[in-house]
Amino acid sequence: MYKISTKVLCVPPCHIVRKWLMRIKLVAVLLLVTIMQVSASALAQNVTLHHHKITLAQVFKEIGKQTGYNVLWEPDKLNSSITIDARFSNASVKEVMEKCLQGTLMNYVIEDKTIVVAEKERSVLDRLLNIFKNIDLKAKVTDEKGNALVGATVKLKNFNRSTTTNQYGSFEFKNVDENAIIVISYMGYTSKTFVAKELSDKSIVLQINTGDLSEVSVVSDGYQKISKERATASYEFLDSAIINRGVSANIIDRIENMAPGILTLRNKSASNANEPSFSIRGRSTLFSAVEPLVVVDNYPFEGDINSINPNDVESITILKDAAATSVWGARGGNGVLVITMKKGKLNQPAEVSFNSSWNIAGKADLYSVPQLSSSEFIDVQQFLYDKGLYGFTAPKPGDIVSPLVRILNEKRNKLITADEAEARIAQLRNQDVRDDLTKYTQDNILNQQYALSIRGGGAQNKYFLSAGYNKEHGSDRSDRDRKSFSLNESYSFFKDKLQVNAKVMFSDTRHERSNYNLPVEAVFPYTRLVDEQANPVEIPYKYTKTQIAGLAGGKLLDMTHIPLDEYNYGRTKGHIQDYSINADAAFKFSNQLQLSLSYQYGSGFSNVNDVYDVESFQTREIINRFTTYNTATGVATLNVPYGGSEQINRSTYNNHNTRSLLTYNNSFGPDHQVSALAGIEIRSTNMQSSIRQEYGYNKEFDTYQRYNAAANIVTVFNGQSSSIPNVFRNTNISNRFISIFANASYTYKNRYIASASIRKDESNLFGVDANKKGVPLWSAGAAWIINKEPFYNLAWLPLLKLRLTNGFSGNTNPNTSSKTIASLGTGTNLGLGEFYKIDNPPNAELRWEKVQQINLGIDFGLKGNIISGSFEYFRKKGIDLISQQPVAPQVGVINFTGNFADINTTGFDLALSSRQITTKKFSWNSHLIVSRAVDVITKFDVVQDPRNSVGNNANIPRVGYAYSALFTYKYAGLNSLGQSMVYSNGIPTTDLLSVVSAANENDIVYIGNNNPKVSGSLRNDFSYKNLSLSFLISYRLGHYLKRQSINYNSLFQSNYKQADFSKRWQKPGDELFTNVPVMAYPAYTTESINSQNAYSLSDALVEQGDNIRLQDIQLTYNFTRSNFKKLPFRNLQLYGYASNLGLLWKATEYDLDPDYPGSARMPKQFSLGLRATL
Amino acid sequence: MKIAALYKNIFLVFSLASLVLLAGCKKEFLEKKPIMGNLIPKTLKEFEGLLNNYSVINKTPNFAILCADEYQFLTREIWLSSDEVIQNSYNWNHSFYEVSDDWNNGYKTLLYANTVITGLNEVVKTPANQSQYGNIKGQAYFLRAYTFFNLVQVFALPYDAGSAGSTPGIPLPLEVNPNKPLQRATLADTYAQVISDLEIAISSFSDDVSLKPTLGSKVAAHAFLARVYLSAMNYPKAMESAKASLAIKGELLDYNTLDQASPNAFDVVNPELLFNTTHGHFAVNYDFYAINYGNYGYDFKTKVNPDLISLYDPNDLRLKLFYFTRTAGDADKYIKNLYQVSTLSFAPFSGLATDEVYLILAECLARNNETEAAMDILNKIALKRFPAGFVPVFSTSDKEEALRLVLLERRKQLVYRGSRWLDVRRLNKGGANITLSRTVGEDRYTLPPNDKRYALPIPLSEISFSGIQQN
Repeated sequence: MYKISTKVLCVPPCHIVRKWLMRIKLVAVLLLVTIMQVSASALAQNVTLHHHKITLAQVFKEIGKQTGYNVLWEPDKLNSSITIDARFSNASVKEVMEKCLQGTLMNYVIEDKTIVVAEKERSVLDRLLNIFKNIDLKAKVTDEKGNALVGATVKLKNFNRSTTTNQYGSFEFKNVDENAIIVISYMGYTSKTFVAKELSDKSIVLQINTGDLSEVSVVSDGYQKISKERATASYEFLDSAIINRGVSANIIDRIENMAPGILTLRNKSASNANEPSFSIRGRSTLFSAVEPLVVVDNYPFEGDINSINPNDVESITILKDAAATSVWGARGGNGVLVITMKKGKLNQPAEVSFNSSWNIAGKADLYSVPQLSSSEFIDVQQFLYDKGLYGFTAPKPGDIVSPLVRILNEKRNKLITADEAEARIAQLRNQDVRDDLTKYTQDNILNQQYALSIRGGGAQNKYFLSAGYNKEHGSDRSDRDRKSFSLNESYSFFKDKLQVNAKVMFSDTRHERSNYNLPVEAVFPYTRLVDEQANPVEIPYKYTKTQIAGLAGGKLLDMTHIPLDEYNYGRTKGHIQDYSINADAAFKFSNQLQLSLSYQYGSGFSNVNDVYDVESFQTREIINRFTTYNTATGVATLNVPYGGSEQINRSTYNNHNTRSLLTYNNSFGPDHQVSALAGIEIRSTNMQSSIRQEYGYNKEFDTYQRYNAAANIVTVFNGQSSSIPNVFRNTNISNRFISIFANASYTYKNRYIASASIRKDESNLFGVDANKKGVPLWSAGAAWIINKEPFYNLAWLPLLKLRLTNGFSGNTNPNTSSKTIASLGTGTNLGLGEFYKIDNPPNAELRWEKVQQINLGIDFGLKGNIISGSFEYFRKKGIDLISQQPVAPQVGVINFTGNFADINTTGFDLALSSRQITTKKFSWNSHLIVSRAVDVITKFDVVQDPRNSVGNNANIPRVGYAYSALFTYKYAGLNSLGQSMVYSNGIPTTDLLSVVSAANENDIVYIGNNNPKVSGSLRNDFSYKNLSLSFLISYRLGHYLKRQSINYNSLFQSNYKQADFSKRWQKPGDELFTNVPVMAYPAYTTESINSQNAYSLSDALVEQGDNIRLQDIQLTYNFTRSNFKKLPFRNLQLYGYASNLGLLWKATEYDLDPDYPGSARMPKQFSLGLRATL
Repeated sequence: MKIAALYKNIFLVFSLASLVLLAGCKKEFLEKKPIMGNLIPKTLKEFEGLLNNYSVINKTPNFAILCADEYQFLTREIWLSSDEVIQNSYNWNHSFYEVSDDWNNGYKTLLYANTVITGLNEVVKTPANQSQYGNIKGQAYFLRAYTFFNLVQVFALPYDAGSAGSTPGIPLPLEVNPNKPLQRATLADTYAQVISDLEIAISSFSDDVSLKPTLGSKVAAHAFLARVYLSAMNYPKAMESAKASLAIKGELLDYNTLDQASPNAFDVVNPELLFNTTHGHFAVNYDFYAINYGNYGYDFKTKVNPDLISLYDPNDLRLKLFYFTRTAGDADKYIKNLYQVSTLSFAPFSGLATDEVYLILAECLARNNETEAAMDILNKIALKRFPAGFVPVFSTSDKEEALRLVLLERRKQLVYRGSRWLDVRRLNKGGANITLSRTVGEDRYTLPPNDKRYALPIPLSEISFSGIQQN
């Protein structure tokens, strides 16, 4: 069986082929022998051994020990009872081997320091007898990692028969000549040639052809594995090397910039709350679910995506076009991210891997957030003081006096001299609150990551076990800890006919950060937070001591406000847990047909509590506010119980999934290959969440106290009556789906591929009526591998493939129904009892939102892959989007929710890889990604007042514009008084209010899209021997943003966190240099409001968002046994990683980071890590 | 591979069984409601809950009172400062297309009625729920008839047996289908639908007389049918229905027992009350009808038409119970709360009460030349409306005089209920030749008999979305 039959196959150039075959066999043997005996200590070429009755195995071991040769044999083929009398003195290896195998059916071959012992070749007579004896042949093709290669081509040379491997990488030939020559090929891998009889029931390992595309791979759509070569649809595949390039604990960060079509949202804020955290090929809905579907090991993942440990991820497939996403039907419309977790490997001893990284960075740059300097703010306060805004001479109780005003008051009251006042003010001018904040509230960032995994398997089972621990300490002293655990085990029975798989995943995250916000009304740019001895100081806020003492008979709690202490008194604490249990069984009826049944249960919770200790200002204030005082008896009653206050947010979810899947793979003759699947899926998800406000928390006993949320209490501070702030809310959501689906692909002559899929989802979301009317979602696609045509002769372009798909996927919206939706009415209703109101009338015509997508793709590879890649053009159309629209009032409602809107998104994805240099020692590869996606709302029947669109990304849909279009008034600069002007009918005017009320659409200008039209990255990978360097440049182009600037009204109320103050108009002539209007006092006059709003609502504040940044740099050094013989690891990798490296270029000249406007610049991060395999 | 074969079979059986199971449980599985706080009304209790939504259910169009001549603005300035709808309805200026809520609110009520009517088909009737089922069904049909009728009184021309088959009525949604707007049915079809709904209601209701007055009942349905026939000038049928109603409940409230000084003399639980609705929505009423009492420190903008006041005998208790004078010597009278469901409501009563049924019966009797019986009814009412010793005695054998007396009594008793608008429309069809008129400052506005402005404009949003014919 393991004889090295080089002679049979040897055709010139003989030694190369032999060498290759040798390697193939070696690897095959390595993988197949269940107990592998290796000895590798090279001492001598000759053997000296004297031993009576020694087994062959012992002799071989001894040979290995003495000569350094690896001796490989299959124990069950070697009769262990055979013993010899060894009498060797300095005998050659050859001699010893011959002596040993004398009289056995075994033979041996020596090649490259390895001795392979295998069955003897049959005699010529045997061969003659068997020459017409045909055999049935079955084998499996895998890659070097043991992963099945699906769709590999297997050809019977000279017999014009061929087939492809099925989903498990297996293939079968019936009735073939045992000496027939079989060629196994797979794109991206080196082809291999065998004689039929050598192959049966074996695993064949193909090696990646280093001169070929490395991206070529088997992708997973969550239902099956698909050979990318045979795919018609648009998939992006990210292997573990790509996923492990970064160090973030978050999987989304790891895939950012790694594949075309994916765009992450960098600055999540209230203004873009309807934007997904990441998107695939732009927007396809208006008001329904916007996040792409995340699938983990074949099932939709409902938990927190941050709970997935990236170290456990084997690969990620991104499904982009309709042909890819339509298998996910009504939930695939936003694209699908299919995450495949690591699994065990058959026939492999336990492999222990360890990965750890330490990530450090400095403190956040608080100075990067625009704010008035101390000096500027003092000037403003002085100005306001002179205007009489702080014009009280004797502050009333409750008046908080800022340090500056105190000095000015003292000066006015002649308590200090003007010089002394000036000196003290000069000192204030030199202070910066950010110095103290940086020193006392910020920390250096330190993130740690540890991951340990064990994987392996025997002939019938495989396992993967992993544990991970992440610890993050943020610049704002926030902490985040994640522990994760996963176990994946499979067994196969009955000659692999039945395969059973079980998986458990668990993750536990805790996070905590201070929820105290520095009040800008009390803490000024020049405020010091500590005294000379660095002790935290009190900053009076809202209440003075005299005021508190004078209320409720002096029985109120003290209202001292010490900011640096407050940071410790309140925190947001979160605890998130997700787990899932998976079981599936697959039964092979034949090599072609398989049925699998699977079940998954997932569950988790998230508790996020806003905690304010009883020591916190916030809690003391609320207790005081609702203290009632009886002047007659002198009794003060606490209506808010004494103790900490907490707002408790809880949510839990659980889901059940079952899936029955029938798969079929077969070849008919050499030209026809069919692969098909059909299945039924039932899924149910329940989510419960609740919010409640608690008071009177007692740490010692972990208890709360009751309070009367309904009562109206006259507050002691202002004498007005109100109820204690409270919130109690429960939400309970159930989503259920029953889906049936089928898809098939057919390959003709290995170059024409057609695919089709159909899926129907029924769910409780819309009600049974809508399900009945549901049109199945379908897709169809075709691909043509042109380079396989006989006529194709472009040697310089060995890969050329065209793909075209069209189809539909869908989108869900839980807020509407084909049934009448009513809810419980609130109020007394004249004592008529419980009553209901109708929220939405039934909509018998309600349909799933559909997303149609046409995708045209071309894959190409130049000779030697100097340049290779793919280009895809897509047109995505969201049809029947659910929105509200006015209807004939005779319906009973004025606005009605239904399928009324359409959106059209077009764009392209380009991925290019190039190999500039590929030598044995040095290589340089580049990867360029360009994605473009532009959405336009094509139908939306609500006529929007264009004025509502003016502002910062209001997300008010308007036909003909992008969903996140940006509109402003047109700025006309400043007039000679420093007042802002806008254009009205082309004429500059200061009267913005009239322009607004005229509502002339021509006065409103469309700026552009808030989201980048074009995005992508350029990655350069260098390697020299074991050292590799990779750096990534990312870019986002074609978008606009509105930055924050100065608002004088807010400034006069002490909001000093504003930009552009120093650029303001101050004297006639300044209008030639600046757009920032004059500081107009008071701010409430029509003139001031006009000037302010003309500036704020105009395009004066629009900045181009285009930017290019150096995203990261990675440096890796690999220690392998070939370089370091004594390495105690199979593999050891040390790596360094740097990120947040800053912008290389930005279109705007304004000093801001367009991706993070208004937030503190994050410091550069540096990581060091090691990855080891035992 | 016997065991493998066994597994093969187990798999087959298992998957077949799950398919069967799936087919069986699918409907139930998918009927789970997605959001717990959302209710898909299915049970009798939930349907009753929908009908209990007083602020939607128990409202009738404002125009019935706004366009009639029972009130007057105190000054031109107040008129000009009032809501646009009120201004324009006051002088029958038909340019108020979009702002009226009467149409929208009427159809909103119909959405509730139709939701219950269609939903009831899915409820299984059992001996235990039979009576509740019947009452809810009756209430829903009654509500639909009531709403159709009230809408047609303001958005279509008066009924005339001769031309009703060609006069546009209103769209008649009988089920909930937001996707298929309807065109206007003819007036004849509208009336036929109202009558048929009421007949279903009458046959569905139990004989229970203790039903909530905010929901319909058998007696209310009979009473309302009498009003419907009366407006269609089908007097024999109206008489029949009025009698049927009074046979169930014919109690009259003795006004001598009421507190004349009270702004809310009429109890919420009123012996005459059959079905309680009020005119329109808060904003209009606030403008139109506000009382300067108690916590509600609003001032009046309108007064009662002096012509109406002049109809009363000085001894008539209604003068003191319906109206009041703000300051001594002020000639102007202002309206008090009448038959209100709540003392907090500003809106005038527009529902059904036994007094109206008596007056319908009296009118039908008079028209049928049963003058004596007609006068008996007027006398019966008068006994409860005058103090002892001052009760006038109605007596005539002349048909026209009897009719005149009955119609006069209608004006005096059914004030601010919307009856005046209905009566003027109907009586002009019969040749009464009543011209409504207003004076605002120097300007005088009139609404001649059978003017096309007796049908008010339909809101523009309706016209533009369903394309129905405008008045």
